[in-house]
Amino acid sequence: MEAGSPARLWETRDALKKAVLMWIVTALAPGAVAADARTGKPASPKDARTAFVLDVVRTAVALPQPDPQDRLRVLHSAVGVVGPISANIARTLSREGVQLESELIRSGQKPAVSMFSAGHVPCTAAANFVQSLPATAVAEGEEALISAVTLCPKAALENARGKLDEALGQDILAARALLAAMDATGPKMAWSQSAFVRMFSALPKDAAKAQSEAPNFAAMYSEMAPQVDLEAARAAGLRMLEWLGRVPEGGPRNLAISIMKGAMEQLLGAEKLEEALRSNVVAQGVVRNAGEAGEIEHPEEENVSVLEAMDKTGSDQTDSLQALPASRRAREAAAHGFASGTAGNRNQAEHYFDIAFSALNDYWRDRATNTNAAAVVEEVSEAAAQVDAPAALSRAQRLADPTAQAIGMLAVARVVAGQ
Amino acid sequence: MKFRNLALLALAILTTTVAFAASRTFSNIDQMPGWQSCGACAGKNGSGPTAPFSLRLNVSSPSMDGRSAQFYLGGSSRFANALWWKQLGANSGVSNFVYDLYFYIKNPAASQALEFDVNQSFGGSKFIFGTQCNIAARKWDVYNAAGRYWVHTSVGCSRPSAYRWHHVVLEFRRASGRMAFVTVTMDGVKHYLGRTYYPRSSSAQEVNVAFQMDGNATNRAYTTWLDKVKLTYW
Repeated sequence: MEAGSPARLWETRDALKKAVLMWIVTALAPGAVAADARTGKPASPKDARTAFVLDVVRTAVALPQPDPQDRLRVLHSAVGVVGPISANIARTLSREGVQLESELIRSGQKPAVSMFSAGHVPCTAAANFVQSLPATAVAEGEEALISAVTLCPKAALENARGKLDEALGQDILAARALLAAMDATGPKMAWSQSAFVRMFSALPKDAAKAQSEAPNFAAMYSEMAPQVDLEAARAAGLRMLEWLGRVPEGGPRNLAISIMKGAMEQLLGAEKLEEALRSNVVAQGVVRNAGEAGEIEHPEEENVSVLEAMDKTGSDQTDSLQALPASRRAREAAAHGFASGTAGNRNQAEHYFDIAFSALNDYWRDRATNTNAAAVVEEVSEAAAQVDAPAALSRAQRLADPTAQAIGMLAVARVVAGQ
Repeated sequence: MKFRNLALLALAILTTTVAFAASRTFSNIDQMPGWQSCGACAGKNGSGPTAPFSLRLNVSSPSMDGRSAQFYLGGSSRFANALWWKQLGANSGVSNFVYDLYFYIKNPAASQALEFDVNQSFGGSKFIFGTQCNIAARKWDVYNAAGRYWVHTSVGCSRPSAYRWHHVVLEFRRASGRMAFVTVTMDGVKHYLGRTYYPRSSSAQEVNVAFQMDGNATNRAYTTWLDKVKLTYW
């Protein structure tokens, strides 16, 4: 097989997949070095890896992904893999991804991933994204909006401010995006000062639904209040405390109250704060709770310890794995496969990877509710690739769903690229 | 035969018990007094560009639990660095490390890299489990201590999104006299690092955790907050 054979020569996707597998087996076999198509000279191992990664990326993005969320997942993964090798390809894929992300948000969906977190988004694409973002969807597109503002302020900031203004006018808050826009604009600038006042006049009516945002609102206050007019800060603080009075008790509320009390005390002084609180009974009652243990709610993460798996390489874990739900079974089995493989027990590793990839198929079927399905496919495929990349690629290609196949193949390519 | 099996079982139980007994967790390291720091020493060959830097403990906002640590690197020099570390006492008997923390950054565009390390020194060797989110290169890097250079891994680390807390969990293992970089998990997404290097020589006796901020060419100051910093070892 010659390095650099153009993917377009393969007429069917299956043929392409088989060719990639043969290619990797040839290119990654110990001592094997493919020849350069143009010069006929042996290609360096680095060139061979690069050519392999590019082929896998082309194959993966060519696989059918009729669901736009799936397509977005694949593009996100592909950009991360190909970025260090070809900035041009990464930018092209990013443009497609950002466009798709934008369409998903406009249709009222929350994107499964944001292309902005993969990097390589050109500022023109970021600006177009902001331009086409409906003001009513600033919350759904907040992650991307923040990235656009912080990474491409010249191209995106003005439009972003316009969208945030429009949203505030409809009592829609994206506190982190507002803070990002204020920082990028300059906290002392008129727009930032005005946005601060309007934000604390437009706190969500459904306080219970917005409780996880309470610490973000408080953080915004703490950051901006020293920069604005003292009377405006005092009034905004009291409004925020009143709003916290309607937030259900719990960690986020307690944390927000403590932040607010600390910030207002520093700003006004203890005496003036007491005076302000006397004018507002609700706020006064809320501040009495300051100091209670509070914490930001962070999404629960499934924790699999690879180190513990490495401590157990001497014993068979098959029975305990079978009792686990699909996601955890896939991850635990992959950890044991990695541990066994790196300890030199290839047969045991293969056995665990059989379990892991089988569990992936089960898990992927419910990906509409399992929002981290793509991450689990990546994790398992990477673990397998660390032990035996050709075998891992073959396993990824045998996954039931084309999107899962694509993501698994890209994960293998990522490991190969870094070797 | 029965006696031998019983003896093996007893040995297994004893080994397991000893292993668990040796496990220890240091929680909320970000709230502990006694962090040490340096500026120029954090740069290349220990003599990088200098810039003002500072650390403030028990900051209420932003924080995860009401008490974060605020690390600041001034922007007076291009590619300036600052390193902070917290000694946790020597322990040569442990070889597995889990470094678990949350970080928050407002201006990732000013950062070249954010570095998270665990260091263990004993018996004439320093095991530097150095990892960094190399924002400029969009990669997680690991440190080859014996060679004294950073190595890109295959794991991506693009610019962390601003104004939110990110969760990082790093797994390291010392085995056969070498340092194994096992996994990095960011915001629940685990990646296998699969890199192993030899330590460098040192006369120190220590276990510590460290955090370093690297500035980039934009010459801008930036701040990072850490919270719920935890080290578990066994």
